[in-house]
Amino acid sequence: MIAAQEKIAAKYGVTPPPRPRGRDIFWLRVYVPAYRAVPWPVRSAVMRRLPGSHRMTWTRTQRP
Amino acid sequence: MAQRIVVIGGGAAGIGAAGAAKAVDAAADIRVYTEFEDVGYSPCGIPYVHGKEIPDFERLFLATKEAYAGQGIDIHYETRATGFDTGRKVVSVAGEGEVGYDKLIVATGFDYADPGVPGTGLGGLYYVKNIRRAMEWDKVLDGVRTAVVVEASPLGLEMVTALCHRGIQTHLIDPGAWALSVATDPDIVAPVQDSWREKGAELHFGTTLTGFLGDGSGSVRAVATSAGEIACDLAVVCTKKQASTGLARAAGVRTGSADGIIVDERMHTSVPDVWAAGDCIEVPHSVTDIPVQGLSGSHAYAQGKVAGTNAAGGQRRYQPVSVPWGMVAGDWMIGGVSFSETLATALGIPHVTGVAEGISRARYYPGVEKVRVKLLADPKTLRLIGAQMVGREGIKERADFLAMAVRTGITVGELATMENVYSPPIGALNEPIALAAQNLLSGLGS
Repeated sequence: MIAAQEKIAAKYGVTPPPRPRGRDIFWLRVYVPAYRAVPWPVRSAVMRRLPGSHRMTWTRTQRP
Repeated sequence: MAQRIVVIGGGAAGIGAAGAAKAVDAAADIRVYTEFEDVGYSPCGIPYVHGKEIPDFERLFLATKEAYAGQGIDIHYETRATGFDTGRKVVSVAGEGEVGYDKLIVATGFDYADPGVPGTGLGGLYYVKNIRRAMEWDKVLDGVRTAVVVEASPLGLEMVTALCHRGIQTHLIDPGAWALSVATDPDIVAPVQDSWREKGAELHFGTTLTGFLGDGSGSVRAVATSAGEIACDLAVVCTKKQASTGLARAAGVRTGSADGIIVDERMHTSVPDVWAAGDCIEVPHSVTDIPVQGLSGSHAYAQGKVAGTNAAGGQRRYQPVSVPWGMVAGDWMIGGVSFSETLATALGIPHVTGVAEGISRARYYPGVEKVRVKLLADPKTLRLIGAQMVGREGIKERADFLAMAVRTGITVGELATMENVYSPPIGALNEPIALAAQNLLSGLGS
């Protein structure tokens, strides 16, 4: 979220979040680039494999 | 013999479930256990009583205790359910022992996330939830000169507005870069923040709470933050709503990756004859399928009705959610559907955006206001996946409409050519949603 705020803040010319400190440096400078490097379909598939209500039966109204 | 349906929790989900179950099976023995003094009131209205927009708390009660009794719903107030055994089908109730059930509905709601800092035991820390406590706090507010609102959550935005209306010097602290940064974008919330500043509020973004400091007699005198101390008489703690799942997990009911009770479209849990609804559950998002938790009172009430209907033997389904939202903050209305640019970027969801600033009525009609609309769409299909809006009227209706658009897979191309009501007092010639869609398509070279 901090990484996203940095990007969106730059787009809209507003003050970004503070520079990361401590553990946040790992998340921002290592995890986020690695996360973004993985294609969305792969990330989405991994998220959908996690346990949760989304894996139960749900009937949708959305058109195919 | 009449079936016994036990409901744990008397909030929107619990009361919705009890009423729906009674409607399906009038002969059912329906018992609701709540640890609180009341059921069936609107906690969402509490900030507006504090801000004096609503004159009294009594208006927040949806029905009297006698009305529920008259409907045949047996509510046990200030009675805590301490656990349940799904094998023997009993609920342990403080002061009543074990109560057997045929069907159980868990509607245990939420708890505020612990701030996790020193000083949380001090007096003068207000967690907005219970209406009786809110009545007491409202009297306290008469003597408060300076307050700090901890975190710019939806409740935080409402409380900043309410305290400003009350004439209280208000500080807002939040680690995010702007208010409600999880759900909104800076261009959408900017007018809100400007209006707060005009009312004298001080906004401290990029600022993390590090502790509550006492005055030596057990009450808060200041909050400690990453940017220094802020003196205050009151701190309103508006941290994230976490699903209250302790009873369920102890009974072996499964929870999911969003930390809510896992349910299916009928609100049925992983355990036979146990349903769940409201802030204690998680439901899938209609676009990403990712489970979400902690939605609005309208979501909780609708989920409760589904759970109650099915528990009593009826048939009703719930849908994956598109999450329309909206609120009054400062002098503005903000709202949206599903994703903001910020949230979509954080999740790494591919998207394209289109923005337009339109008007709410005919340009010559008195009271005309600007309406800024931002649409997010899938780059390949151009299906709408999110929206953000700010204006002074017409936000809620647009959010509701766009939520259905997301749910049914409507594309930006269809929105660009939508029909709209044109009537000078209530609608402009050009609908801002259509303008935003057209701008999005223009940006793609369509």
